[in-house]
Amino acid sequence: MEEFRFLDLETKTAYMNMAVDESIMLAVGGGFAPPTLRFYRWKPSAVSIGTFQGMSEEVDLDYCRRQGIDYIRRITGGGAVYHDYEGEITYSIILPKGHRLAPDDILESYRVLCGGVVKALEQLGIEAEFKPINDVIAGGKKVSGNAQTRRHSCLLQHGTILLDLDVETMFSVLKVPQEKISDKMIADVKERVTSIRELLGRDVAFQELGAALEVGFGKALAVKIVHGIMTSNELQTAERIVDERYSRNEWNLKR
Amino acid sequence: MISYYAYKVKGGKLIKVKVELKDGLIQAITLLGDFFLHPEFVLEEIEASLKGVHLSEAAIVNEMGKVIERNQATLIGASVEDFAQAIMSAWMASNRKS
Repeated sequence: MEEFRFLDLETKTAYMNMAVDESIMLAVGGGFAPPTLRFYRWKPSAVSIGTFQGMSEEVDLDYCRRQGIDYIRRITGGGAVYHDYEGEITYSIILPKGHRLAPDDILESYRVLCGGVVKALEQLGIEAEFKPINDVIAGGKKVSGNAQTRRHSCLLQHGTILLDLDVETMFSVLKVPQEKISDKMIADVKERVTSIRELLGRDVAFQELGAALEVGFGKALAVKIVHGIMTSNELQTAERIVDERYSRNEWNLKR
Repeated sequence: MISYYAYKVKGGKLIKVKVELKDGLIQAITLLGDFFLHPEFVLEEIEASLKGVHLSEAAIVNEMGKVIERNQATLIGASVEDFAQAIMSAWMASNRKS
């Protein structure tokens, strides 16, 4: 069975989290590292926006600065996400171009890779399904959002799984688009988004969700998950990417 | 004058356009939103290529289509027609105001 390097749940800043995803792409794309699955949390809590979004259009920057919430632009498309340190696990998966789990068809590859999230939820006793374009839903509500890019001879997909939902902070951080709300005819985010704790009606620890995700991705992708670490080269590259890109207004406030 | 319009694609993503118009031509444009475009760098090429383009839905669709074709790019969650419509709507909205 094919082996995936697994970087178990770790906590980093927004800058470092996004830079690590990219440095792993460079390593995998260069043939220096195997396909990699990584779980992480964001500390301090942060908001990430899609690569094509306008920062000040999506995010209340004054509120973020007052509350010590980081803000960052991703290299992936998609929407703005509030990453509460206490409320979610983010995963990333990095595959070399042409890998059997990285079909050219983008929607198909979302379906394949989101299978890991669906399977993980199943481990926890939650019936979930992939909802195109890039969501995983349970009980008709979104519980996981995902985004993908292809560059550096790699496919990167990262996504979040909500453990808990802090709607109040989410609404304070994000400038909620009125158009989106009226389109769905539902004004209440609780009607559209859910969390693992809500779905199960009990406390679920990070460790439990992390373990379920590890098993879920292994099963769904039919790969052997092998615990590993980042190389010092990957770490150094990540630090360089923080300096060159993610810590800069030129990048984060580009649009 | 800069015109702005946000448009939710049915079954797709939310797109936003900021466009500066003069004498029926696009002077400058920024396309924003939670859509996907692979590869991503193509968006800046699209924005650059729309400069000087005549403000008509057909001309915008044609120009965007050319850039996407040339780069073998894939747009997900919105179509070139959606962007063209949003740009035209931005123009119409600003006309109503002035």
